[in-house]
Amino acid sequence: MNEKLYFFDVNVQVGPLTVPQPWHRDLTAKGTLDLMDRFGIDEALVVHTLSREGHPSRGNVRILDETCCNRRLHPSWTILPPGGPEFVPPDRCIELMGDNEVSAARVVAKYAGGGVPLEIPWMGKWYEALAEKRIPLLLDMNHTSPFYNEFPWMTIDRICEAFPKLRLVLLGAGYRIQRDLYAMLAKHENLYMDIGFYCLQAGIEDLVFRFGANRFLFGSYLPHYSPGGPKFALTYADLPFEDRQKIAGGNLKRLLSEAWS
Amino acid sequence: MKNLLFRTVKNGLSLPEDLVVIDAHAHVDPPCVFGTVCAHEQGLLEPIRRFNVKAVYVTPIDSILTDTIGGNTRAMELVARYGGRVRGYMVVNPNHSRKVSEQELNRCLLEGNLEAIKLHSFFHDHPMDGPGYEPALEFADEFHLCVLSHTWDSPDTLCKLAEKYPNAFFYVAHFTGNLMHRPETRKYIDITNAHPNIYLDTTSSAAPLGAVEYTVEAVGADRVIFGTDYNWLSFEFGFGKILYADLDDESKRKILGLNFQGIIQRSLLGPKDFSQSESSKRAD
Repeated sequence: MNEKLYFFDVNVQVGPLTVPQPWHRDLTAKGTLDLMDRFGIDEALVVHTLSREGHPSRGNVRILDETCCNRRLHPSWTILPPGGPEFVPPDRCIELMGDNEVSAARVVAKYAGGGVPLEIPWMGKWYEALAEKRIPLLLDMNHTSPFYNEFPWMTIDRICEAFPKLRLVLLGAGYRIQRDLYAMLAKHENLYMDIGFYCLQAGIEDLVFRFGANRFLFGSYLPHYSPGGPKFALTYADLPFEDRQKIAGGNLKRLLSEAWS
Repeated sequence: MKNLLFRTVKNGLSLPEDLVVIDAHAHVDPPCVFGTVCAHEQGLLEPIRRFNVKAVYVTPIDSILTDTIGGNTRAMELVARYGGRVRGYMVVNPNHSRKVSEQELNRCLLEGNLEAIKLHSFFHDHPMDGPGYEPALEFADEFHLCVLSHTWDSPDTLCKLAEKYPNAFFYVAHFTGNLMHRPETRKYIDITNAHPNIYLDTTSSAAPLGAVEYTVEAVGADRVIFGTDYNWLSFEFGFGKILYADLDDESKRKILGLNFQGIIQRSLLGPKDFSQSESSKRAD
């Protein structure tokens, strides 16, 4: 176990929290980097908390400020449905993403207090535009629960089927989804997920055994949750180094590098 | 060394051989309520082999759901088969009669090889301070046993029971999965500090950043117990969050095994016969 993995985290937030915990002292980019150093996380795809808990129009600007000139933090932008007054149309937004080296989009699914309807009549133009540019879309359920056991599987099925070139990434998928998840992974090659909360015994190994290692990513949900569990589980997983490295960071690096190509 | 364990796991190295690890909150056999991968009996020895775990304390799924007595029997069979590395809880179903519960306590703990009691008021739909649990708590008080419960209903209920049964050890499951700013969480910390027979555990599917450290700061490392819900949930996820916590090695060693070992050693049940089988010898 001497080969050290390179970790590229798909699920990190920067910015103030609505309900900070007593140990949340520095929630800026600098504080995030300190936490990443502590846990041995080399790079991270980050979203600003304002994009999730405030409004994307402010958070998406702030994340550029926070990540500017830092090669370890990579910005992602949160998107809203097209056709309304509060957000730029997909084509223009994607131009701006390109100008600002933003290589991933994030959508916060509809929940009791807000979010976005994911169905194709509302978001289809986005799915089409992101698929064309091979920009990954991170699905953030934004439940109050720390992890998500209730994904809208029928909607995910329809999206993946209608847009086979869209790379759809489930964030924070919890351990209770296994019975739903396997059929979707088997059916849709364009469905990805992070393993940060998929804490079934031998869960990571079984995913790789059945579906290969190319569609699983490391995600911690810092600064809310400790990366210690998933990082240890992946580091010591009963898998070849090459597979563990893909999940630790190789797959995300590949996804981001293929955007715009 | 103060942070040897942290540096070891951060660099993906092998853990020290003298680390005593006891998983005090484990299971066996697949549950119906969610899908698992590796919850069968054959998987039980996996962390023992890979991480030199001294013991896992299991509760079979049947014990806490449909077949308490059959599940308790299965727990005793597993303990006998795996010779001390797999150890067990017996379960009291509060919906059984007092006579049945007393018989079961005697069968599993006095005559059998199980060492502690697990209660699950959520599944059994019975209040923790209700009459159905009295035989178990009286027995635990008499023999100084550990009583693990998925929930204690409320801090006030736990406080009342800890005072009524001062020789029993009350083990609060899933504590560090809680968010620490919530008033009820603070109340559990307060009653733990006020009662030396209350312990908090680390079993949780999610690990809020800093929760283990905050708990240790609030109640002391002597009062925190390592559990994982293995082999439903991942032993590695539960183990990793302790090893990566911002705590010194002495605190981690207490949490990972020494505290629970101390509780079990205080039991008045006397020595148990953990008959070695061929499979457990291979695990050694």
